[in-house]
Amino acid sequence: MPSLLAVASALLAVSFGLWLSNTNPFIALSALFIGAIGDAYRLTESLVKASPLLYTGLAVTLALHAGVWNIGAEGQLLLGALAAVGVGRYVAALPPILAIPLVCSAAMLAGGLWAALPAYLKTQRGVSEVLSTIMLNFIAASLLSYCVHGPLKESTGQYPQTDPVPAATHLPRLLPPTRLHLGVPLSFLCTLAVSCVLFRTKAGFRLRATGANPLAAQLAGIVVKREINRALLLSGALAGLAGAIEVTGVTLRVYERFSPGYGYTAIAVALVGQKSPSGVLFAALFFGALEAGSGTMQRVAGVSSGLVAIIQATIVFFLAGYSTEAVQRLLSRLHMPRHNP
Amino acid sequence: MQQVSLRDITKSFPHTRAVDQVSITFRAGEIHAILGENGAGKSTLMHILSGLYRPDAGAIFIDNQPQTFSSPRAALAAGIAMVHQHFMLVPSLSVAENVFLALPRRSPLLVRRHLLSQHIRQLANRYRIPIDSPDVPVSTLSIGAQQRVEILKALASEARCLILDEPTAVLTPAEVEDLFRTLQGLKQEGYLIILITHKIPEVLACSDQLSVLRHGRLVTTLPTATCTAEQLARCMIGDAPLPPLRRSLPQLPPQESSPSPPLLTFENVWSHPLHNRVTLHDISFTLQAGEVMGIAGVDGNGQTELTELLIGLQTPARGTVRLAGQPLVTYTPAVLRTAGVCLIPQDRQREGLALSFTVAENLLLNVSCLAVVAPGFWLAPRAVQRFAARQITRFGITPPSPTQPVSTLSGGNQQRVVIARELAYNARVIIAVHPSRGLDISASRYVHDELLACCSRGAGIILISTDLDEVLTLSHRIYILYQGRLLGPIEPTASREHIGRMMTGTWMTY
Amino acid sequence: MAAFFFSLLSQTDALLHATVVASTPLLLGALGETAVQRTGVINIGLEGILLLGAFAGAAGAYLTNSATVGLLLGSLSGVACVLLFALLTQCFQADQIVVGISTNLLALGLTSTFYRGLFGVTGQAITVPTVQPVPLPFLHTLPVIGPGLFHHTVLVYLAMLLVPLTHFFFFHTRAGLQAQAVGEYPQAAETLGIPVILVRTSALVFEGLLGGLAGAYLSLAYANTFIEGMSAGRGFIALALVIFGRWHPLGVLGGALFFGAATALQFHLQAVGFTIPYQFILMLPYVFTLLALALSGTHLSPPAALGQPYRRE
Repeated sequence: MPSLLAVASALLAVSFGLWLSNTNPFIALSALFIGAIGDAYRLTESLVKASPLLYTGLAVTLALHAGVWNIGAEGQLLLGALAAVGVGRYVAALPPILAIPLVCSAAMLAGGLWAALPAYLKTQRGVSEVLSTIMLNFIAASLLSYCVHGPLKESTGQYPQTDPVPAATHLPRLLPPTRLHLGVPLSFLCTLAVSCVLFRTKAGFRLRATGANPLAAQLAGIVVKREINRALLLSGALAGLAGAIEVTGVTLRVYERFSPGYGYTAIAVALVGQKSPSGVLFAALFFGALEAGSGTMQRVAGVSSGLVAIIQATIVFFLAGYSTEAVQRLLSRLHMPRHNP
Repeated sequence: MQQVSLRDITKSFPHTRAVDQVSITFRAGEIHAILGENGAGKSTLMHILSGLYRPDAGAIFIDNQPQTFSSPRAALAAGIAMVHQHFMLVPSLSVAENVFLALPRRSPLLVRRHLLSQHIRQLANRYRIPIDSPDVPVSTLSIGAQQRVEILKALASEARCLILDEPTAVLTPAEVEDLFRTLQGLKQEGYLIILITHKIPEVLACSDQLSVLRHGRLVTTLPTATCTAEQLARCMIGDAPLPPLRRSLPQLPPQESSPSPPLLTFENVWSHPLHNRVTLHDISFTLQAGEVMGIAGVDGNGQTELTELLIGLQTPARGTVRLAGQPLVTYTPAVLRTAGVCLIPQDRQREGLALSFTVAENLLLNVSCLAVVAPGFWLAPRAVQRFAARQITRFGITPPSPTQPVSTLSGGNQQRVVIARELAYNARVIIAVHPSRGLDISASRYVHDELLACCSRGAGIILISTDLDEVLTLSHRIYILYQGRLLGPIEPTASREHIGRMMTGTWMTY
Repeated sequence: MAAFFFSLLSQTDALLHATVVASTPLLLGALGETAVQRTGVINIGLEGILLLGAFAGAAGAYLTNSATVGLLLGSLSGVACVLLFALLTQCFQADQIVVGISTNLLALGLTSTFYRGLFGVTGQAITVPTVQPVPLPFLHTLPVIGPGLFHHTVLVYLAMLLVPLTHFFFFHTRAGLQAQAVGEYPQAAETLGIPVILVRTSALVFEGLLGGLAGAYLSLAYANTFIEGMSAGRGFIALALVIFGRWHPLGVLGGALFFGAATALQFHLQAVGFTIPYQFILMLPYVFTLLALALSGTHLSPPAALGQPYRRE
């Protein structure tokens, strides 16, 4: 699989880079490895870090199947988090079994609405969704900044952050004292759900047909604009859900720099996952492990945690190279041919 | 340049030997035709001569000097220019700018437009090639005018050998005459002209020498004056029996015994005038069950627009469309397909298939099929496999694997997938647009047989094709599409001359 | 309201100056991207190039104590970036959007890693030697437009010059027409003997030079420091400007000036003490971009082969 090859190549390239800068790559990478899965606690940390990547990765993948790029997962996630905090205040008195779904639904609605504008611009005005979703990311960040400095600011008024969300909305911790929360297994369920929808439903088929050949799909009777709208709205909803899960399961409040770029890493996750939900699952777990291990790597080997971003980007670069036709042909000639001509 | 020779040229592609040890000599002051069926190797051979491909074996000689062309630019520098079937003109640039780009290397770095226009007018006058205004974007010109620009480009690049690839495919009969007159003029000036074609009458009318290619091999090279049409046809096709010129169509049900309303009726339908599109004027026709209605015409007279109107991609601006007598209110592809309209598109890879999908998924790429195979919310894999297996067997798709990516199928099999899907359920009105395009004889015949079989089951077919033979062979009655108007109906037994006049609109002049 | 407009008028030359300063990085980036898109390639990694250029410029200037070296280093980093892009998209025909996205990700990772590595995580902004403005001899003494237009750093003058130069190149030279042919119909260009891949790579190198320079401008002449992520979406705004300007250098200039004015106004509003929360003012460029995109949306005619990889037979 090109993804595995890309990961291997990226690790090799990064090791080379580390060696050039007088750092022992083995120490650095093994610190990363141990930091990610060295013991039970670290393992759960990897899962916790993987969870938002999985939700947003699924969001981007869903849109990709319809032939659209949802680069706005970051902004949709932020809006989802804000909505979770905003609605959370009103459901404090309800039992968790009601409060949590309500908060999550509100987040999904917010995320979906944030994707509605790019959807409208694409289907009605032909505007590239790449640019419109990115603009909305920046606008969302500003909006979040305004909220945590203003209307949603914590009651003590000390720091630019919101009050913690009410206990009723907290996602139960599954394995105290670890941070493993309900949102993690929920993300696995989401993967199953997305896979089901894409490959086992008529609606999913229509969506994939729109991405595979929009002209042929239109001639076939599929309303392409409607499919694109649905894809973007659903994608936004998933990203919004990611925001809510992060708030109610991990951080318990929203603040500036709430998301370390989950929405952008999600694109890398979706690409490494090769558009398949199960692939996205493994990619998200891998990338989450990288994030979790970066702290250890920084402490033990002195390598800045920014290296993780470099590794992630390098993987995608190699993947872009390996996924092309020319290289595919080369690879198939080197290995046993998969298909019989 | 007095003479260009190809000696023992061989070229193979992954699965075929396209050209096999072909040797031909072209002389100045001659029009030399290269004759052959689709896939005979004529285009490949000429692409080698014009520098686009490199031969695996053999050599090219110009005036007995061996030449190797690493690129089209090198061939152009040596004096060989090709006028392609699909014009190599940049649509957004003007005529002048397109010609400027073709000028030889030592030409100026800066574009001085008025000087350039003068230069072009001079060239055009010298070779008697009418060019109206050199400063309009090429995209606004008619196909015939664009071809003239292509020829002018070749002449401006100071080429001495012109290769024309199927030049008459997109021209009206009058434009064909103009082209031949221009070529004769160039011949007198000492140019070498090579004509690639599959049309025997044109070869007999225009050329001095001809070479016949079949399956990549040279069959013969003869002076045209010594050949007859039957002889050439036999050379092109070989000893296999000629396909019958006209197959028997199923009988049309007599009018009185069909009280049911016609399948499809267009009453005074106009399309919306859109930028860069042909507007359809006052289209009226009636399609009965079991009949094949052929629409012939030269490419660019509204075929694409009519197809889009028929399948629902465009809505009528005026007029009424009735399906089985009932007027249609919502006009979308989904509604039309549910009512039984299907489409076999002109470009199966661009319009009919999703190349990244498997055969089974492509067989579902149609809301009617989807509605039957997946009536509810779910798409059960077993139902999909069953449906796919059934269609694969019924329509003989090879290789018979539903999970095969459709991109690996041959052109003929891809067309079978399209047909298997479109004709699967509820095929009442079939719109077939040039269905045999790019297919060899046996594949074409299969497609035609399937369509006629549907006819005898009571469907109606609208056959839109730029291939006049296809239309004449299959239709019960024929219309001509000319500049957005539907002319006719006329009998398929009418003379080609009469049809030709209708295709060029000369019947309209007084 | 009236006070606001009055304050605007009295500050015209300062506003003009601020407009030009703010629009220069956008203009440089957008001109580079226009050239690239005219040859049929779309490079959304422009944001990454800006960021990398900003860092390379700042680091180079800091280490050598010379702003000029910083500018040079910034340009070179842009070229390096773009050569990687060209390798992947032209030789291997990888998807241009994917490679662009990874460029942005890589730039983020590289700049933050090396920034922390070189300067430590102190939270204090570094100070770098800055590029000095060069007043044009007679012109800068003109009233109003003098200090506004003619008292700038060399980069600003370069950007202004490049507009008519690129216009002339694309529409009045043979090479420019060839480039257009490559972007509209590469197969035809090939038959005319135009080396498609070479033309596209050249355009990309042009973009790399300008983009890296624009980034270095940000750190060495605009903000006078380096902050992680300081490109703040300017690369994407530049992309929008290319569409907004209809792939014409003059249109791009108009768009860049407009955005520059919006940015200048943003600071002026804050300075004047307008009571809108500053975050909304911060949003302005992005909102304007969305509006610009929405308005230019349909009936656009980008170069016909934009974004499609070119395959030789």
